[in-house]
Amino acid sequence: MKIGYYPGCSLHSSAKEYDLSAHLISGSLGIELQEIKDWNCCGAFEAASLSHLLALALPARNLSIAAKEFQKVIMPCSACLLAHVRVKKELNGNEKLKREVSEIIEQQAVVDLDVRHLLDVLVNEAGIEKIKGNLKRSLNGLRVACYYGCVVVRPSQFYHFDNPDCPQSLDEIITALGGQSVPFPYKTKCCGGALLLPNEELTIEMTKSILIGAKDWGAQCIVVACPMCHMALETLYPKVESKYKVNLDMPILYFTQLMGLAFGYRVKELGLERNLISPMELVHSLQRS
Amino acid sequence: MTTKTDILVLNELDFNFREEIACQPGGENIKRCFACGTCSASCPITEIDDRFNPRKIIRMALLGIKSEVLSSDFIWICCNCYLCYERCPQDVRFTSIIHAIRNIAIRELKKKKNVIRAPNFLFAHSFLETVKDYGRLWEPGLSLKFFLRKKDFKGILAYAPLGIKLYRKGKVPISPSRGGTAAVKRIFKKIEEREER
Ligand code: SF4
Ligand code: SF4
Repeated sequence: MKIGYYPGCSLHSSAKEYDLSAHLISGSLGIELQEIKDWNCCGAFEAASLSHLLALALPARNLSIAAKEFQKVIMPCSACLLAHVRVKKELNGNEKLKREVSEIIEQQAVVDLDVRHLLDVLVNEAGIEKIKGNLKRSLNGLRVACYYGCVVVRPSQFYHFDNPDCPQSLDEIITALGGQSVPFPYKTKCCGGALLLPNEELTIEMTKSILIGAKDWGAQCIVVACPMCHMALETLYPKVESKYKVNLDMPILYFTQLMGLAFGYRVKELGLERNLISPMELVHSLQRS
Repeated sequence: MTTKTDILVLNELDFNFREEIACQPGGENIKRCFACGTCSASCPITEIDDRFNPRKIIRMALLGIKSEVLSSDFIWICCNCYLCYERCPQDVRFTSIIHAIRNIAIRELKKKKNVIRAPNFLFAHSFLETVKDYGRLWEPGLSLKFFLRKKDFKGILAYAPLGIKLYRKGKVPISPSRGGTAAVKRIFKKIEEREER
């Protein structure tokens, strides 16, 4: 099954390991991700702050391009996902606005394209049974904190595939692969990734509750489903350790990387050597077990 | 004792401000707020710094304390997590209201009727300039633009070790990735023309 794929800017640069592992895992599950042509940045969180029209036009152009080839497009980045589903929601039924946006992007704006997060498609279309079927090396009781972040499950008024307060998709994957998802009250608490550069102090406080929380709840690693979460948690990790005098010992993996290990892919294929907080000890212990 | 900041001077209030917000896309539901405080109780930023308070921003806006709201750094600190949006019993959509207020703040800035010093504003501006140049985001270009715009040379130095670490991990592309570059330039131009009208 060929599906449109919008990687977003991060997956072509700082989050290449997410891109690599997303392609591999999808492939194993029979989904071929095809990058949409000549896509542009969706404006992330920033466009909406500066100009309402810009926040509609940038993603709208991507949707129109994607709709020429596909019925469905997958996004691995939660911020990109939000930007695109927000446009669909806002233009749906508002013909005047739709005309204005169409004029600006010089093509017909579309609202009926199916826009989905990678996590949603893997769990709800490929399905847990198929995921189990690909298991080559069990996670063997590995204790994992499933961190969803904010806008993959919120606002449910835009897009809904899991419980916005206590989502389960990641937990189901981890359990299916033989791991244990620890109870984790910070599942959907925002990491503050959008403030990483302009307001680091605040972001340190926000990532702190997630990183230290995961440790307190007994996790051996954290899995994430968004490049901004990954960047914020990894880069602020040493700062949280020194500010709060803790030894976290808590690698942060894209959920597709951990799935990849369980599916038997190699470290290099999954880009695991690119993670800032080395997951190698964890990888070796999985390989030994 | 009442301090000066507790006193509202009636003729300094702008009762039109609430209408202005309600007319801005995203701001439509502001008057539905019944001040329950669910937004503030949910907000991860308020939890850390209670000077940022969604309910209070809404009250101030409804009362017409316009210039204070528009020039405040706090309207730029919301990190878009949509928790207040998800939970509000009145469907006020605070996250969209913040966007509407920011859009108004920028309009007033262009008319030289407002000042914005918030780093988050400078960041958003630098971000979109990068997108306008290449069609896609180029993270190193964005970081440099941001620190220069903030005139924060110490910030560049403080950021350098992390930059080098990221570079070694192959996470910093030397040249920008481009996509839809010409089309995006035209999108920006058309919107700028519209917004100048
Ligand atoms: S949750 Fe909604 S109704 Fe309650 S104070 Fe916040 S905006 Fe107002
Ligand atoms: S969207 Fe903004 S105001 Fe609302 S809870 Fe999140 S950070 Fe707070």
